[in-house]
Amino acid sequence: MSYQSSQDPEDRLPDWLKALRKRQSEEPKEEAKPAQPSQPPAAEGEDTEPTWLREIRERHRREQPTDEELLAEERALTDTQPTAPIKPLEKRRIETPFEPIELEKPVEKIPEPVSKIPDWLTLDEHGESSAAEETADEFTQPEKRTPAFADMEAEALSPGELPSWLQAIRPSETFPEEDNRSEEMLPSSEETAGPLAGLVGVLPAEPEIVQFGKPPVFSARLDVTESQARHAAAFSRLVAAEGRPREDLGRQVALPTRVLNWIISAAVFLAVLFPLIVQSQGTPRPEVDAVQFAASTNIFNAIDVLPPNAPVLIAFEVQPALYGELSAPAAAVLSHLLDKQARLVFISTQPTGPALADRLLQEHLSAAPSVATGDYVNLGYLSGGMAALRSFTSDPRTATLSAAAAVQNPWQSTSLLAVGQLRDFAMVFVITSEAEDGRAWIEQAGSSLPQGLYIVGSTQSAPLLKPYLLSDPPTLRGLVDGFGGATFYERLRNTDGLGRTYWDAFSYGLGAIVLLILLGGLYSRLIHLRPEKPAAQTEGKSA
Amino acid sequence: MPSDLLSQAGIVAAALLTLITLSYAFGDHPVFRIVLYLFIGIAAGYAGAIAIEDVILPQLVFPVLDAWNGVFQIAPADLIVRVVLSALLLLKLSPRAANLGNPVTALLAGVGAALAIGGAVQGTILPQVGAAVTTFNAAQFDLAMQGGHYGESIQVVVEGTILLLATVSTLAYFHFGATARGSQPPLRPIVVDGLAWVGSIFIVITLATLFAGVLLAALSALIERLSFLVGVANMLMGQ
Amino acid sequence: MRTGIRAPVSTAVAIAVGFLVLISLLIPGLEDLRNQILNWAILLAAIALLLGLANLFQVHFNKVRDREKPVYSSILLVAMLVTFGLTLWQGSQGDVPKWIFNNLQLPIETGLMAVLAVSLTIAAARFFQSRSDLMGFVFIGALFIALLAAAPVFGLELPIFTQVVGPIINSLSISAARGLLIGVGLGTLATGLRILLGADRPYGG
Repeated sequence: MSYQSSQDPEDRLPDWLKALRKRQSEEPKEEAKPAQPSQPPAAEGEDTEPTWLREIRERHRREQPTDEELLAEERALTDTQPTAPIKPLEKRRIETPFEPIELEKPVEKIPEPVSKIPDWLTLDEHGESSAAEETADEFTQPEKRTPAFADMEAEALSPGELPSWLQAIRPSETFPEEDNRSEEMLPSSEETAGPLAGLVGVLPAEPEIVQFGKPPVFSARLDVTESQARHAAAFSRLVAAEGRPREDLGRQVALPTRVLNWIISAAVFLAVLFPLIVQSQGTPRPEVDAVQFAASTNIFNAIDVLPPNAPVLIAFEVQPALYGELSAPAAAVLSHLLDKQARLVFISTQPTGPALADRLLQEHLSAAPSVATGDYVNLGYLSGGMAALRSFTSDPRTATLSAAAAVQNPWQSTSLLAVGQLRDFAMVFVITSEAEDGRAWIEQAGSSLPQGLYIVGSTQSAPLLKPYLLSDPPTLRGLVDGFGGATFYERLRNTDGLGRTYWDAFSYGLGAIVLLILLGGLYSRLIHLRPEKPAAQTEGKSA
Repeated sequence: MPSDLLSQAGIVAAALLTLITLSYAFGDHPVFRIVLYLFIGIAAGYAGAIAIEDVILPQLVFPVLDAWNGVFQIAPADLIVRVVLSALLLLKLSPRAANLGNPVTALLAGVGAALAIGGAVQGTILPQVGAAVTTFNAAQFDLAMQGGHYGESIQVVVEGTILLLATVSTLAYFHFGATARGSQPPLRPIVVDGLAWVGSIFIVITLATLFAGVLLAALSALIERLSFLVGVANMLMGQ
Repeated sequence: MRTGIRAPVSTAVAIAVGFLVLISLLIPGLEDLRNQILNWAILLAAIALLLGLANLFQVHFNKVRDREKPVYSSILLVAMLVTFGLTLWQGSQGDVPKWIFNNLQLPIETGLMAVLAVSLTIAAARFFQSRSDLMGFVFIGALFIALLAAAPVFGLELPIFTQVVGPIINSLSISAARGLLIGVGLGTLATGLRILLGADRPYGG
């Protein structure tokens, strides 16, 4: 393949040429460094700085503080500056990390972005500028932007740090890292021309007609509250932080916190292990309450009236991560189906689905005659996601089946002889670990199934699947979820299964988790009562 | 027996890997990293092999080989389209010719968009709007009124109102449209703003239940793994 | 936003195919044509998956070559190649691929999910350190109710949660989730229409 063949010439190169190539590939990275706004100025410029300024610069560089600390420090330093220097607007725009991309009209007045300025030019600028100007440049940098809200650390999201894919999907100005109104529109912006230049909060000296730049467009802007904007910014920081290496995170966690984490981990492990080791079964199972567990009761009632040899389709959309959880409710429902002599037909849009379905049958239901004799059909993996699902639900017989299933010619088996359409199945179950997979089946197959779907789900998928139980017209007829659903279903059937086995461990683990969250919350509240929290002070100021 | 030996080795390997993975709860370490990379490699290799075995071989390679031998499992025109589309998509591997694969990815995007629209309208929007409209339990309300149980009828109305408010206010939270009024900055209508605030409370409640769901699912996985380890320990101790 | 159509062929393909499939969902009689297109899409999706794997292979191959954490990447590459080769050779139902899946992949993946229980507990326990406003209290309150309503705690059933408060929170969350689902549906509709109208071109147009 081409990517492999492209490696070969590289390997054949002599060492000196490899070294040269490597060096060449590194050079552009070094050139790009000055373009990042967070990078400190060049070293040559520092020679002319006074000692106190150099100390601050070095501390700033050495500490590389967190975003909050950085903002607090910048504010403190800005407050110490009696007079803000007056600078032309054009220069400020060069250094603004988030340039509005729509600025087409005044483009000829805006100099090239910093990333395109060669090193020598940047260095020269610093070298020529006076120490006072450099000080001002550094300390007033936050003011050059127009933050959408006061306590947002916009500096953490400079364009140079954003991964390319995030840049690509970032809708222009949707996340208000920067206010895309012109600075003159903001109440606290500086005057940039005339005798009042440099003062804040004055009427504009120039008439609007001579001001260049894109006129503000209000109707197209998203109106977001400060809280929403903070969430959006926090999310952006979170995504941006994904690209950074996290090798030393373990070292950064303070020892008491680590010990606390160990205690929490040990407590949860012990709480779960204890009932498993002593094999206790003393925890009461859920009461048979047809109202509270109506969705599970619906499944029980529908299976209970199923005639023998009825074909039942099982979509096994289970991720291996949640096989452990889903094995309990799935085994409970499938054992009921097998007791009713239903002919099970499995299919999955997950590559690992067929293997997990086989494992579940062999591990927990091998006593059933049809499983022991292999009298069930596994249609295998249905590749292609939503397209495959739509293809299968609209015409199952022409759908693309996996090679292993196609060899067996499953449509000639007794289970599927009478099945031509999806609605010919007596019941259709989706055993799913993700709400998205359940939703895909409801959306793509719902219109082909007047009798509706039944879902055996994980507890994490249940909150987003439950609304479909009450939809009009009804699409989802029944739902059994998690260990709780499994235990209830087993009780309905007067049997003991995996739900019963795990129920005590579930109860004790849950108890430990609730207790730990409660204690942790109380501990955190006590910490918050202490007054000296720099972050809290910053928040207070901005509020 | 080799198969027994393989089975025993599998159980021991699974137990060891489980222990190493669970040890991450007490801190990161290089062995865990190795296991993590091992997992990624296995999962990727398995998925790739299944894609070839279940789709590419039967849908593309075998029909082409059969056609080469003069047997056409599928129509020649269909086969040509498949070969051409697959070849164009494979060109994405080459940086120089990657653009030639764009029409194929466009086909995938078009199909995906159409299916998503159809599914969302038929499967989610219409049924859920229908459910929101019928939030009020009219039958129960009528029964309560006919039986003179006015307290219960009021309860039905209050319940329905709260549930409808939850749905509507949640939707309002995501309404960001605003209009400018004179020189004022653009603002949402005050009704929408108020509804959005109420909606944020309901959204927080939903997020809490989702968080609880994930936590319980993870707890279930932990129980299953520890149960497996206890079983292996019992087996090794001969119980 | 760029308005010029830079890739007319790709855009035309996306619009034409998208509208054909959409129309076939509404008008009976076009099922065969739709299924034909869907079969092509299924094949192409499988090839796209392979492209993704090739990219993963290339990235880690380069890391090994550049000696950038070569141990981890080597393990990934070996595991990937061995699993890929054996599964192709024996088929997914073969003994060795089944052994690898059941005894290597499944324990690790389930174990990772299990560790999440501890991580989420720690996160919830430290929640108030970062958030202690009204919404924080609502979140923690609803979380407690949802957890306590899920099962008895330490073997003791708490009917106030399982039978009274729990169902109330459940009803509220279902109604709000309905609002979320409608919002997601509308968002899907808008995104899909933008692709079908050529306003969005995620295929590199």
